Amino acid sequence: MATYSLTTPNSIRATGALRYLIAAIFVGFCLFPFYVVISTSLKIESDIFAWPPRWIFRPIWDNYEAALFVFGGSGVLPFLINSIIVTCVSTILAVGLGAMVSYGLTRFRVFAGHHIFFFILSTRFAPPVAFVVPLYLMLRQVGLLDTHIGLILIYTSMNLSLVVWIIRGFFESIPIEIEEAARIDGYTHLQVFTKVALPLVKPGMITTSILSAIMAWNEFLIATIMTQSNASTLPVYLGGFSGSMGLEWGPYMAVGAMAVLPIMIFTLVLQKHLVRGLTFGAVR
Amino acid sequence: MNSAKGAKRRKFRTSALAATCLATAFSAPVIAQEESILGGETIRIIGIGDPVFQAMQKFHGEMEEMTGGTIQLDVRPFDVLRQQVLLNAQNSTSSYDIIAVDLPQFGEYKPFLTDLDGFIDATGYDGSDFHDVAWSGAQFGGAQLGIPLQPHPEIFAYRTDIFEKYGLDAPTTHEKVLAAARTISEQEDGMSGVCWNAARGTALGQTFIMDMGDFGAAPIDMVKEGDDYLMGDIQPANMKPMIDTEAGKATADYLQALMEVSPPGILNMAWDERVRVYGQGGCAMTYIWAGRSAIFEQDEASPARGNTAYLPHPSGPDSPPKSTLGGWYLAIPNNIDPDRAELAWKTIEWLASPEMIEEYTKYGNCVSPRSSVSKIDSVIERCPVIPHVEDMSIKGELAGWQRPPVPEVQIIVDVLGAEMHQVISGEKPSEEALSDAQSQLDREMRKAGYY
Amino acid sequence: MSQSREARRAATILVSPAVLLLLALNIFPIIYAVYISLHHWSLSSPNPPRFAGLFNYQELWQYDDRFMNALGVSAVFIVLAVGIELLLGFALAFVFNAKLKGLETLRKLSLLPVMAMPLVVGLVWFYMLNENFGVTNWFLTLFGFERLPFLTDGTLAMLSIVIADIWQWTPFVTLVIFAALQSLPEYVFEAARMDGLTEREIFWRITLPLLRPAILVVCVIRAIDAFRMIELVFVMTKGGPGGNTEVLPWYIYTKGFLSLDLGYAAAMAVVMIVVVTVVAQVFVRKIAAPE
Repeated sequence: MATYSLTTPNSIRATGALRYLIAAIFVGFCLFPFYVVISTSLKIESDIFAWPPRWIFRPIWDNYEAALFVFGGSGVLPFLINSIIVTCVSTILAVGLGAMVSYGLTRFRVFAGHHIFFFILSTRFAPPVAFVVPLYLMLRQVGLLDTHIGLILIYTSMNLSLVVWIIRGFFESIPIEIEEAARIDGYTHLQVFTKVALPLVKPGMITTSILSAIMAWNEFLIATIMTQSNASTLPVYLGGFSGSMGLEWGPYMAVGAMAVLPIMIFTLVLQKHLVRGLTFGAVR
Repeated sequence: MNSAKGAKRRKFRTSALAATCLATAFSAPVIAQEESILGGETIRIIGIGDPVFQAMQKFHGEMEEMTGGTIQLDVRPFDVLRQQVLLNAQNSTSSYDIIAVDLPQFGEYKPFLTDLDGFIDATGYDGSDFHDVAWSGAQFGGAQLGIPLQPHPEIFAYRTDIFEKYGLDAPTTHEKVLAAARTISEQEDGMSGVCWNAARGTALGQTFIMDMGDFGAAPIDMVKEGDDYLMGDIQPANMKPMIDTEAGKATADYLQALMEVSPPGILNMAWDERVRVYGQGGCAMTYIWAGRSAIFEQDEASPARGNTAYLPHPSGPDSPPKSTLGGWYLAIPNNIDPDRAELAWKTIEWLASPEMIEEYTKYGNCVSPRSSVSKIDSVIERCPVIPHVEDMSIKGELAGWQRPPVPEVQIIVDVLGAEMHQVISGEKPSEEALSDAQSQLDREMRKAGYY
Repeated sequence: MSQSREARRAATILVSPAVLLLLALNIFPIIYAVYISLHHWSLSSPNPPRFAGLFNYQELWQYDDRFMNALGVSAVFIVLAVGIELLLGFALAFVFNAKLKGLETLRKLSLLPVMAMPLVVGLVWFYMLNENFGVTNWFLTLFGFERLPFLTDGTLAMLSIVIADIWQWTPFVTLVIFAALQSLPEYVFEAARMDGLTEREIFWRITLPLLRPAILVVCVIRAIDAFRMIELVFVMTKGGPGGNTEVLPWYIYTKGFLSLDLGYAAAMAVVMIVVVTVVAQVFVRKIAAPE
């Protein structure tokens, strides 16, 4: 592995072609499955099962129509709507509560504040499958099974650690003088938070919103157990067919494409903050 | 069968048939004008990816027109359906109005199903057109818990053209199945012997206990009477698992022998796939739930179409042929919003009506639980398997004890589905797997407090 | 400096909602899980839950081969997936670490798998690895190999799941190491070169030690996330063939929500929480602590 270097232009030039080659192969590997999802969703059945695989085919939109309205009984549409509701509300809640608690802990001395911080962070590691048994019985107790609220509450709590860790950095970078000036102008502490601090961390809020939204959008295990029909999300619908996909790959992949394509766009927008968001800010 | 009762029944059937014919003749145009069944409401049904619900999906739009409402139909695979139904039972109010129940599941589901007798009495519903076994299969403790929609047996199908070509005996016993399969696997290009459910989990677990039935043995220690076991009154003492037995060993040996004459990918093969592979000529024989025969009988490109003969499950040595009866019923969960119960019942009545049962056969569901429908010529033409099943039913070759309707039946199936997969994939000797399964199930039964 | 009353009130208003939510949905469930695990608690049984003492735990350690197998399978999966991701990701970070036209765009494109819905990842690999019509086997035959039964052979099935995981997460490892590389102070390298160290020596004695924290972070995060992975198994193998890919989360799921034996599933959940908590506490306190 002598191809690394930070500063020597010579070695860069010498290995440039090799770098491009390796990078291109890697990117090809990363993108190919997306191509498979999209192309399969546009194929007719006989093209889907063709051997050798058909690279050139006449694209059709029928699978999308089937996926939206027919496949699996009544199609994906109701599930898509549930997904959007749960994702949006849980994201707003997580970012809101997360911003509040981060600000509270960075700007005020709170009893055991340090421990609260680490506690919130460590929830990032909670394995959902281990929490799903008690959570299920808890939701049953309060009658929140198969409701939007139940899922929203769980997703909000799951995303808090992520939000706190990203937003805290943004709050820390606000010069304290700005807030002090606002205090002198007669703002209360809460007004300083809502009218001065929050607007200043808007970029951070947007980043965390996207990240939490993706997490909620992608979540499968909890949704599949906590909801049966009224509040079931898109992954529940998708997971509902595994093991019996026999012939229905076309509509199935169409749903997959709907699930993945919006996220692809957001990932590209996000990529600058991805490291920090996904590593606890331990790497910046 | 008591012959006097049989005669009475037959008479009943003919009159029912006449009535149905009249009804169909007049009702077709009437349906649309009559006060609609749903009247703008939405009915929520969870079904299974089995022929009858797949048929409903195919004319879902027409069905909504007929009922004048919205039919929200969720079609899911077996395990997902069971999970959804059991979890739904925990909800304060049911998320579904109507659920699909597999015959052996009534034992597990009975605590949370609505007793339909109230509706049956109130509306004067007539169940006599349904096959006796099918109708009474949903009775527990004197309560009718479900209405038959797609009850059918797992039987055996084979290619008559291939068997003729090699001069083979009809595969009525395990021995003949294996002998024929070996010949065909060796000599017929690109064709394997037998397709069957070997996928890990429910598929293989059910295969195991149904094949154990071929040796005249049930998976738990039930009381035997003649060739069959008594299912009416299963006591805690009868819950002792009977897996590590001679019959269990014979079954494991048979499955291992099947592995040698199975198509590629057998370790993941289940339900529809085995029938599809058979239909495409990938194997010469297949185990099959009767209703699924439409997959090839209604596919003009299939070489198996019109070249298939049907038999009961092939039997082991010294045992009579026994096919497991299973299949789907419609039921109402008892946590349903009381205001919706009547709507659910009206919909069930309609979904299981003779007209609809006939309609389903047009869309690939080769099952008729109603004698009146089984006699319609066009139905028999579409589904040659239907008279065969009637025949087996009359001969007493259908039974349900292979999958006893006890709450633990799915646990038995799960354990066997995992243990036996290790046997057929060659990772564990059958003796060890059988004794492991036996002791696991023994502990489960103790834990449930049976003994 | 003591805080004013108003400040204390503001702090309480800001901090308490999130803390209460986490207490309710994070701390309480752990206690409750322990409680459930001490009972025979089955949803499919008509009997109410009854106290069982340590029965479920005893069952776990003494009789349950599937549990032991699941622990082993999880360990193999973590080691294989995270190990390969680290090696590949590390190497690729160095490949991308050059100011060349277009390389930046390629690097960004390579990030797309990271956020894809795991269920769809499993789905598409399940499709691509199909023995009969899958494109992976097509590539194999292209190079003159035999078709492989990716999802039905024990070893290959594990490998298939590892491949899908590698596809999704290698770009993430690359990104983290790349970011760490970019943040290394240039003067250190200049000084090293002036001291006459060879490129190889610089790599082993300076670059690698400086990257250590980033490598550790990514290693721990990936390991814990790999431990909870369930979607790939759910879609691709259901734990088969013969239990070869039955990772712990999948086994918990089948026990808890297919067999509906919640008491037993809770006992396994408690074991899992203990393992993860130990690792996470060490990690959060030692490594992710703010500088």
